[in-house]
Amino acid sequence: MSNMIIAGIGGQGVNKLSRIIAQLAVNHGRYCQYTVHKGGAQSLGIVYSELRFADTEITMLAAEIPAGKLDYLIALDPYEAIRHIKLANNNTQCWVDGKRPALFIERMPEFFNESTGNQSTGNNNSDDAMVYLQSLPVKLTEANYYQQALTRYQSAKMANFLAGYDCLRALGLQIDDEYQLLFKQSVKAAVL
Amino acid sequence: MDKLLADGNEAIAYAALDAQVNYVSHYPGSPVNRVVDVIACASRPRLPIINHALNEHIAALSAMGASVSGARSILVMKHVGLNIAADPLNYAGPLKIKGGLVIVVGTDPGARTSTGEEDVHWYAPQFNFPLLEPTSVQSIYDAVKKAFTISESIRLPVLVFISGRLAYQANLLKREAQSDRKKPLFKFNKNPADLINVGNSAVSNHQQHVLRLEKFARFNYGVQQKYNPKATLGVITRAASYALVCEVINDLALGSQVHLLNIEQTYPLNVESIFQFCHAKNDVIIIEDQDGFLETMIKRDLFGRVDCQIRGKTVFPPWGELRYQQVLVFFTELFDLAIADKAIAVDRTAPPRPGTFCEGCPHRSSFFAIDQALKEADGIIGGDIGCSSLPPHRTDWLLCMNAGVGMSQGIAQISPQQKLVSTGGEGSLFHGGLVALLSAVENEVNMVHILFDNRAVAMTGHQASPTTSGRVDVMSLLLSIGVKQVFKVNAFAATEVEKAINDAHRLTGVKVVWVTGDCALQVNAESARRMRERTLTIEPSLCGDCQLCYESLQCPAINRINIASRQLTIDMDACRRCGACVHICPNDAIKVSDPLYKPKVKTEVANV
Ligand code: SF4
Ligand code: SF4
Repeated sequence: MSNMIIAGIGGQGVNKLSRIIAQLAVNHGRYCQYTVHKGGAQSLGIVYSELRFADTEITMLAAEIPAGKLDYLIALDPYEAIRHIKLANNNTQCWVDGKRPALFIERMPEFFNESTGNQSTGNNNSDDAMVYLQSLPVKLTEANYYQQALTRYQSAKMANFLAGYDCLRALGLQIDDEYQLLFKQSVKAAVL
Repeated sequence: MDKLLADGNEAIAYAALDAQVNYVSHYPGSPVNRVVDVIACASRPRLPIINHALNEHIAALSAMGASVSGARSILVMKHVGLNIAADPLNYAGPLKIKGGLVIVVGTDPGARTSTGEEDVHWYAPQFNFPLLEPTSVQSIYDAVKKAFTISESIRLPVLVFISGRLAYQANLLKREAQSDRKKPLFKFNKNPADLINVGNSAVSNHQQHVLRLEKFARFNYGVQQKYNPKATLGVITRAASYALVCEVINDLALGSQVHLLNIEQTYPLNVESIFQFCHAKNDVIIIEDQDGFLETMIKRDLFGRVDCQIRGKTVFPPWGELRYQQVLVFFTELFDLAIADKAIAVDRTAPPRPGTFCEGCPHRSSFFAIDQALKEADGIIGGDIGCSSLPPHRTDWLLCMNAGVGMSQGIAQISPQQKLVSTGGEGSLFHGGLVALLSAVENEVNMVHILFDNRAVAMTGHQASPTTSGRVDVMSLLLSIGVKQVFKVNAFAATEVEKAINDAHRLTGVKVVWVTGDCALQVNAESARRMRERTLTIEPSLCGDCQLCYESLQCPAINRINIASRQLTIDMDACRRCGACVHICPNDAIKVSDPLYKPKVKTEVANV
């Protein structure tokens, strides 16, 4: 039994990555129940999904992950990592895009500065978020998925792919081909 | 058949297809916004007829028409849509339908995808229809399928409620392949006794309706009992709270001290089975979200028959979504347990993220223009439902469909000295806004309506609207109902939109500023060309640092280059090349490399 959160903001492909990871689990004989929380799915709004994996069929598990039981966190935005980190424990593994600048919220200083403890108005890098995450007792992998995606695929939309890839690698799963294939298929699928 | 990964929306769609539904009628709404898309994508020999109705009232009536003609029909809408469908549905009980009629309603405790978390459970006793509330992806599939046969056996529509949690939850689903039903032959048979519902026949139809429902009260669909039947503490759950409560009880190892009953048939209740469960208990806790419908029904049905204490809404609040933590705290306090918390200590919260219009969204530019036109007079902006209701909320209210033009009429009549515009998309116009406009015309009201025409019902997943196909000639339509003047403007030319609004305010009568601009997520040949061939850059030497594009237009693709600087740059990966920023820049600092780009856009003005 293990739990994962994939977090990001509208437009980053949280839903797609969740479906692909769940499908991989199922393809390899495990069970997965996941719930997507996407508000109005509006651009740049909060989107996250809660995935629950088990070796036997999942029938009686809540949609949400209880505090302290988060095993894996993939965050495509540092502030979204902070949003869910309170569910983590000392062994939680996190993959966070640490260089994604604060997107859009930086121009709303009235709540941005207050809740981030960030004093310099108009700060649009997210170093403060990463410094905070580094101070927490979790296993943190920090990468620049956004920039890598732009360089390698000429599209920030592939950041979710790279983050998921890192996570599967770290878990020792040698299923690159299958993962890539599912991604290709889901790009084509009209309804996902 | 093998099990497949499916979410709640897909489970509803697959159930309808596997029940060989003949007629699908809907108005799109989250959280059940994808059901009909999935049905439409399925390939099977006899695809149902799909009615993309323009509002829920019409969707319900067409489904009733199909059902009395013998077709298995499914009606899909969100909770607030049920308000609009409620008028016709009050007649669907006396009607004695023929083909199974299943009404799937997406509910929204926590209001994640709606302007309200209204509890629509109370419609079940009002309509007097059976209500099923599944608890998981598999049970959604089973319940929707079963609902067709229940509906046919008692000749009443069956409601199935799916909360947002379950609609967007995915799990393994087992579909059952079905042998083909007999090839149906549909025919409307004249039957005045059932279908003409006035006077004496209204009363006798009502009586028969009640008797048919009583037959169903003997059913006991989807009852699950768990844990220790001898325990004196009883817990009753429904819908998403079932799995949630089970996880808490398992986590706290309370199985021996609790007896749990989950009820999927929440209206009408099978009173005997609930009596059997409750009568030997000391204490019964009903754990459900929203207003406490199940609690009310149980207390009503068991009134005077049991001695135990039954609690529900005095323990869990009627607002918001029920959370694991709330249930955990309740049980730990009840049994005086300590919570073994492994969570790390966190003393920072993440900033709220209200979301916004997409890059290249026509609404961003339109609202910029409205702001400019009204700010001096501190004008009123009437808001409506749809993508135009996303943040930044520049409108003065956000309620239900058609509240933009509808409420504006009253305000314009009662406070004519204030400058006012009502807003609404083309989805709202055809949903009911047109009638509101006509009503304003008939009552000789002076008002300006802004029609956002992005040629899609964008918010729920880009379903087609009447302007997508271009079948409706909006200009002639508006003029023919008596609109004084129509200004057709390009949404991305904010100064033109602003000018049209001001011009419109100088005239009497009802005026419409018809703002056109495709949804930024619509991909067509022209938008693909723009993405390929157009580049935008902000020329630092020309920029006058007014920050209009960054702070007022607020396009997310326009960013500051670093922490300290006020210098702006456009993120070409996010930019949709709409040109809105180019249009508003007072210093012509935003340069476009595209030979086909024409910054000047003509406004079309028409009147009778
Ligand atoms: S609108 Fe033009 S002048 Fe003003 S900040 Fe933007 S680029 Fe500079
Ligand atoms: S940067 Fe300008 S052209 Fe690009 S999407 Fe934003 S407003 Fe449109």
